[in-house]
Amino acid sequence: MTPNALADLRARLPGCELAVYVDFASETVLGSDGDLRYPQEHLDALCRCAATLFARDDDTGAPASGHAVFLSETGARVFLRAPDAGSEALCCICAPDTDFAAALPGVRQMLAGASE
Amino acid sequence: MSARDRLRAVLRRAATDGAIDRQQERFADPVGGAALMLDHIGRTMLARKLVFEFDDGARFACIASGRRLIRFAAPVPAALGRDLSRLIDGSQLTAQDAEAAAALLRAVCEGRSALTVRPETPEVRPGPTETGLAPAAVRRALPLPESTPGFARDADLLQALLAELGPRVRAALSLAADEDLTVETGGQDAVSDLSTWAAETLDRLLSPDFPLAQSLQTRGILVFGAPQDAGCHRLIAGSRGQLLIAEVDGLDDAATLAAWRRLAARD
Repeated sequence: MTPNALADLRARLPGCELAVYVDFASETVLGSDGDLRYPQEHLDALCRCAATLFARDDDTGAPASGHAVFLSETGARVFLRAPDAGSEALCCICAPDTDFAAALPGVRQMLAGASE
Repeated sequence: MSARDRLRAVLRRAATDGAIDRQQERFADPVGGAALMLDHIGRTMLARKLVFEFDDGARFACIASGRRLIRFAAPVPAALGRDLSRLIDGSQLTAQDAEAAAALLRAVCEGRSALTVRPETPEVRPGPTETGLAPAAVRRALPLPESTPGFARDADLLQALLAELGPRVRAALSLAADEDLTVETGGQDAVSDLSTWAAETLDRLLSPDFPLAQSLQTRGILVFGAPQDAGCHRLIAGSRGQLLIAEVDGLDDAATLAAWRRLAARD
C-alpha cells in the first residue's frame, strides 16, 4: 500500500478525517493519511482496535468479520480487512453522515487492488 | 460466570457513556446550566464545535474533542466582562484555566433557564498538541460533585430499529442493566449462538485494554459484516444501560446503518 494509494482510498470516503493501514496481527501501523498529523499513539490505538475487532474466538463459532463499522452521533469508525492480505486492514475515522452504501463498495474494491 | 452475567456486567460499564441530546434541556440555575454543557462536552469524542442555544436566543460555542474542552469559540456572548471575554480568543485551554472556564460557563447561563446543543464540524480542528481541559476539572471549580452515571433507557429506539429490520432479523436479544436478558426473536440455537458471540465481543470491546473502551459512545450502533458465505451481519446497538444485539439476514449492513441513523435522528 503506497502513500498515494492510501490517500486515494481516503478520498473515496467523503468526510474521512484519517485513514490508517495496519497489520493487526503484529499490531504494526503500515501507513496513514489524514487531515492532520496524528500522534503515533493515536495510530497505534486504532491498530489495536482493529486487532480487537477482528480477533476471532473459536468458541463463539461465528464467522470472522470482514469489516466492522461503529456509528455514533459524533462520528463513524470503519475497519475493513484487506481481502486476501492476511491480517492487514484499513481503519478510518469518518463523519457521522457518511453514506456507507455509496462509499464502501468502491473502497473495498480499491483495497483489494492495493493489497495485491 | 455465565454469558448472561457477563453481558450484564459489561452493560453496567457501558452505562457510564452517553449521548448527545437535541431536545431542549432545562436548568434551575447557572451552575446547573454549566453542568449540562460539561456533560455534552464529556460525551464528544471526535472534534466538534458544540453550539449551545439558550431559551432567549443567545448562542455560545466551544470546541470539544476526546471528551475534553479544547477552546471556546465565537460568538462572544453579550455582557461578558473583559476578563471572561479573553477566554474566547481562539487560544487553547489548559488545566490552569479551569476556574476561569467555570466562571465563563456560569456567566453565559445567568438569567437563562434552558438550552439545546447542536454539534457541528469545526472550522479549525484541534491540533495534535491541543489537550484542552477535562470537564471534571471545571466541575470541581464550579463547584459541583463528581458526576455519577445514570441508567437512561432507550428501549423505544431499539424496538423501532427491530421493527424497521423486520423479518430480516434471524435472532435478537435485548438487555437492560437492571433487568434480565429478553429474547426478542429467534430459535433456541440462533439465540444461544448470538448470546455467546455477544458476551465474547462485548468483553473485548468494553474491557479496559480496548483503546476505545472509554471513548466509544454507546448511543450508537456497531455492525460486523461477515464473509459473503455467512449471508448475514451482526449488530450491537444501544444507549446507556440498554442494548439490542441481533443477527440480520443479508449482507446489506449499510441499510442497517442507514435505518439506525434515520431512527436516531427522529428520536
